Amino acid sequence: MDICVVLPEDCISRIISFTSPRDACRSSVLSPAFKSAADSDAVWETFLPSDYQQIISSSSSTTTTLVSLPKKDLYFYLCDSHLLVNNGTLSFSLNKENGKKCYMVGARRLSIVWGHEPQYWTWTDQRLLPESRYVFFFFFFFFNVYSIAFGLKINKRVLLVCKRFAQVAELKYVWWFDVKGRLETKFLSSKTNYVAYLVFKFANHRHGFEDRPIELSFYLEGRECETRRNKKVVLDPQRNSLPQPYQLRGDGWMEIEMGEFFNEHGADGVVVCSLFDFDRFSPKGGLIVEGIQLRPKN
Amino acid sequence: MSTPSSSVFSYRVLKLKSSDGEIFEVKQTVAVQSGVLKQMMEDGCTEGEIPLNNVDSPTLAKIIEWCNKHHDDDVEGRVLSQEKEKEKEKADMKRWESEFIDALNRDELYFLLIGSNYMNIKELLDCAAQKVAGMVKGKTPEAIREMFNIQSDFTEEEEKAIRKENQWAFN
Repeated sequence: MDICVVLPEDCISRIISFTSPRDACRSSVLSPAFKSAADSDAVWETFLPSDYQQIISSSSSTTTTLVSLPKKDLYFYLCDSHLLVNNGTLSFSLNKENGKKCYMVGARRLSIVWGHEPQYWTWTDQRLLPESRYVFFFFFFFFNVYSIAFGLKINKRVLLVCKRFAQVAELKYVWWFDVKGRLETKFLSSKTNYVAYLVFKFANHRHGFEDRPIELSFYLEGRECETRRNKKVVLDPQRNSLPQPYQLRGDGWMEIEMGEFFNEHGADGVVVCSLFDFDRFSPKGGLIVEGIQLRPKN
Repeated sequence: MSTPSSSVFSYRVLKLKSSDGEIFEVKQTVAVQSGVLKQMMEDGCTEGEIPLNNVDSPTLAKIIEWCNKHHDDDVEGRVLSQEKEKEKEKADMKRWESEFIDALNRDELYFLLIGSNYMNIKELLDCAAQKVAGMVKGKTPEAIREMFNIQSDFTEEEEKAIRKENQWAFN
């Protein structure tokens, strides 16, 4: 028997909702009945996090546009772009494979020692970073032209442009290098292994990161003894023999793994991601921090 | 039986009539797992035979077997035991459920899906749907079509367009 002939559409969508986003997309080529079920809101609503409406409503973007999208479009929108939430201090996205939540704690929400002293750390408009400047003006020009030509469609596109934090932190120089990111675990998906990454890039002139390692650590606040993991990494090894400790992200930024933890129920408290070094002889400088991202381990 | 709320679904029996005319007697306290029957009981229209035109007798027998297993006879302590012993009984029940579902052939599984969907028995529907989902997961469309005898009505161009639209999933 052909399953599509036997089963009503709501049974098929029920079945698909127990697979995965990837399986759902694949099954849409099977037959018109499968496509209709596989694209349905009933299926994609189950792939979205249960609190997605709350997250969207805490976003600074035009939420009405998002809420009215078909759920499948909304899912991929949230995977491919970053929604600024909580007054623009966090950026939110979804892991495409499983719909689990990813968050980046923006530089403005990090605790940076000396961060309020402009001679040590400065705050830069992200769009005005040297290499972003041209990209920004290109986008600005391109999307304006696009908006005139295609009217309404621009609404969704403009959101894509505004996905970045307004400001990033640029290290001028410090001896005491101390940056911490904190995030309540209730933000994260439960029963999930999370990895934290520092998202950064180097300024044109950097110093102090080429020989001396900095300490990266990751722990649950109040349970440091049992959960703390430290590692020491040279961020900017000069010798070619050493492998680069960071990966390129494809968005102009680089990332380095800080540690991982298993989020059981989401009620464990607060995770802390920390960067530290104190070098009394020579200062460090030339590091630009966008934030610290927590995302499910692949 | 002493509390007013439990007296609504007393030990009275419902007479369910399958599509092939067989009558099954089911206690109201068991039948309440079906959303459709529960609604009928609340509306007070369960007198006489209740025809279930979408469910044949072998399927209805299976559905009743499931509902009996998922029903606790101790009406008084039902809510309490659901809360307290849930964890303890969960593992046993899971094993029973997977044995129950695994014993079905493909057609029986389809009819069970249709029946549980029609009678609105969420747990059974989910369990059967998960079984089919397990067969679909990670397979290519070609393999799924073969497994479930799916005849695609899409033209080559249409299929190409859908694949392009969902390109990520085929990478």
